[in-house]
Amino acid sequence: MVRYYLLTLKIISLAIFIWLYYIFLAQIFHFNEVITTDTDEYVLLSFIEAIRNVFSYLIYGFGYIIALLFIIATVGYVGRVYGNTYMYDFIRVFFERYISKWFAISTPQLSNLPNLITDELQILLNDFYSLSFQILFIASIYYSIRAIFKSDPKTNFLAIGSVIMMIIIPLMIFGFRDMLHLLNISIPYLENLPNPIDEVLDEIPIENFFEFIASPVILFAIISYIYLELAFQIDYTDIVTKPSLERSERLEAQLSILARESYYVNANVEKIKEEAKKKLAEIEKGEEERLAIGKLFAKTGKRFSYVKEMIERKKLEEEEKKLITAASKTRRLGRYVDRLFREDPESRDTLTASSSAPRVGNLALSTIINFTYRIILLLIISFIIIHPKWILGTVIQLPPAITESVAMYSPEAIIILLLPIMLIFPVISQLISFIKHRNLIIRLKQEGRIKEILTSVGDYVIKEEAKELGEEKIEELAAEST
Amino acid sequence: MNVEELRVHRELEKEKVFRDDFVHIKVIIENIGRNSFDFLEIRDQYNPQLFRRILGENFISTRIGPKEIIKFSYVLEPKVRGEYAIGPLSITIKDRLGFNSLERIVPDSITDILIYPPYEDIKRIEILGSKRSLNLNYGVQRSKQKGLGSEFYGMRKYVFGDQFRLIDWKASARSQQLIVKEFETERDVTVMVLVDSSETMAGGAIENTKFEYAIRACMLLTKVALTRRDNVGIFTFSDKKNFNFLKPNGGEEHFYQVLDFVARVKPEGKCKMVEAMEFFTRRFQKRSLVFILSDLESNPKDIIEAIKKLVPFNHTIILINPFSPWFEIHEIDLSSTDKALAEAISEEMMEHILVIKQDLRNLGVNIVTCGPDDIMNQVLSNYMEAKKKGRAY
Repeated sequence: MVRYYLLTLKIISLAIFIWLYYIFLAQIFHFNEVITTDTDEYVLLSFIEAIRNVFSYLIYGFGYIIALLFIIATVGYVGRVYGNTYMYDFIRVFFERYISKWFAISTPQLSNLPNLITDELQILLNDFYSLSFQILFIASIYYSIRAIFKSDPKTNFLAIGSVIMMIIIPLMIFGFRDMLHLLNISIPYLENLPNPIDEVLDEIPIENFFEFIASPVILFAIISYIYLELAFQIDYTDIVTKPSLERSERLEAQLSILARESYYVNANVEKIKEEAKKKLAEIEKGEEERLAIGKLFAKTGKRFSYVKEMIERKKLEEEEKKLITAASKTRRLGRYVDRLFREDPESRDTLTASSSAPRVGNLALSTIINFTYRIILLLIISFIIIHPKWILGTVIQLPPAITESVAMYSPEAIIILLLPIMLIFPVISQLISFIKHRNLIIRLKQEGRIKEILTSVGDYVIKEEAKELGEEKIEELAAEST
Repeated sequence: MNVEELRVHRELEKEKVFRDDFVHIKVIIENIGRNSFDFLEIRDQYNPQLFRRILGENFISTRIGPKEIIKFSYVLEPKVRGEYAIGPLSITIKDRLGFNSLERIVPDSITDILIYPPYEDIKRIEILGSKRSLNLNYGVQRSKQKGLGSEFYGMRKYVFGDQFRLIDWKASARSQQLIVKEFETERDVTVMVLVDSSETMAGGAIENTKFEYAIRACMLLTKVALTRRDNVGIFTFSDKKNFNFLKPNGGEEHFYQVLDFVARVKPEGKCKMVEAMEFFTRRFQKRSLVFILSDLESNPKDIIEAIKKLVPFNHTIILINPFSPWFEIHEIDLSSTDKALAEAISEEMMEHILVIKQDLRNLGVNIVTCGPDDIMNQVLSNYMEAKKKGRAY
């Protein structure tokens, strides 16, 4: 039953991820922007071509330079025979007219190569930017599928993280570009990059709570949270139910094996004894006659090895006893378990702990309650953080001079509530660890004190014993004298 | 998470158990609060050197709802005789996401369990007894004195005052005069078992030490002697702090007293045999059949002196000596150096015992040296022999 519950949770989780992706691709992220380049070429192909070109130019340039260096080194001899410029012209013609054709280089002059490589590198960087979204897209799909088979929130984090990175990367890059614009600096590379993020990201309706919830970005955030929350719930359910399930299966298997073996032993006692005897006879064959222990001391004149004797005896005993002991133990245990189950009917349940496994109903109820509670809390906190004016004016009742100030309409106003709310959790965790630490110190001190008391009591006991012993001695002396 | 709302306790199927028996341990967890514990781990601790877990598991990880009760259990097999503790129970509670956890040892969650020596030897004897192969029903001491026993002694003419029930009517009819039957008197013997409980007796594998074998032999001897209506007393000794004396007594009940008594003895302290025998002779003077089970690993002079202290009381003394190397060399795969060392120790030990043997022979005390596989037989056969010869009454 628990397994079905887990499976249901995983299917719901997958459905939520699909919903998340739908919102992401339909309303937030224009994926087509990063699939093709400006020239309608696929980014992946363009990226591969750019790499190829960069390497072609490098190899061509390297060969050209090596050839020139060779000529410079040998010009004394060749120059005398053919004239000074002949060899240079030969190399130039050979590389620019023939070799460049093979490398497909349009302007094959050596002086043009740096520019060509720079151009290709820029293309490469542009393509890498677009390609990174494709890689993140594939990663998120891969991890979301993996999360179905593995109950580990890390996998879900990676899936969601990849999607969120697809939003964060352009936000960071274009935010940086805008910042440079404020300083009148412009980087051409940044100007040409495609922005796949929809404008909807800048238009979050913060005045109305319901519009706020319904906006694609907030909806995306909420669904992401639901997905992660569900991942934790799956992980929790798995952690809390798996040991019980495994234990139950393991114990049931053990009990059935025990019942079978016990039955077999009961039915074949004689056979097992025969086998043990046979084994013993085989071992004893060729062995020297064993000395009876009592007789060993009579043979004081002869030198004999106790150790050797012991080892031989042990070997014989081991082989002889192994089968019989195992059979006897199995039979005894079988009988004991039968009796136990007869006398204590709940012992089967307690042994397999099947009754202690969490019930699906309870699990589902607690999951729903926790889930709803946290989602509502998250929505309220998010609204408060993004819309601080209402809280500061109505709840905290700051004077209008503050609430109506221009600063309150700037994005930085969010920090006023964001920071304290963000710090609540680390502060609480620090408080808990501090209290725990303090309690531990108190306990250790108490234990130390108890030890001290015990030691002093121990001394007292020792003293008392000594006293008693003394008294005993007196009694003995008295008895002797009488 | 208020851990105080959890009530955890352990139930033992039985608190006294034989070494080769099993014990079912049940742990019950009750949440008396109104909140559930999302993650709960309970572990019942036991010493794996002393107990073997046969079935079930001694821990559980689960969740517990409000007012809910959870039970789990496991089966242990005691490996070593003695009085040991099971527990404590430890609780770990965590929040749902595992961010915060709290560990607590349940107060008063240690239960003592008394492990008797293995019952298999006695069971074997009982089986043999039931087959009458041990002649147990006829095992009372032969006193060779006429009396009110059950063994036929002879016939004689009736004299005034004889009980009518003793008249043999058939014989009387045949001889035409009143003939009465006479029987041998049956007298019980007091068997005192003196077990050396010094630390040297604890050498070897924990389950098969000389001391364990000595205790098993003592138990077996008690059972057989009690079945034959003899009185049995026990005295375990090492140093002055560890003299334990159990008064001789008879009957089925006494066997369980002996079990309880020997189960609690631990091999510790140095062997002070002289002091031990002094103590013994002060507590008990009646002439009896005395079995001493000791590895005799103390000074030969002390041993002789100690035995000398018993001699004036006319006891019949049988000294059973578990020969240390036989008990302590339990590993088959010994290295050649270990083998050489073991041999040297064995030779030395043998010389040591031979010296004691020689001296004790003069006192009329025989030492029976034995190994783990014949200690039971030796004890029993010496007891039988003594009974047969009518010694110690």
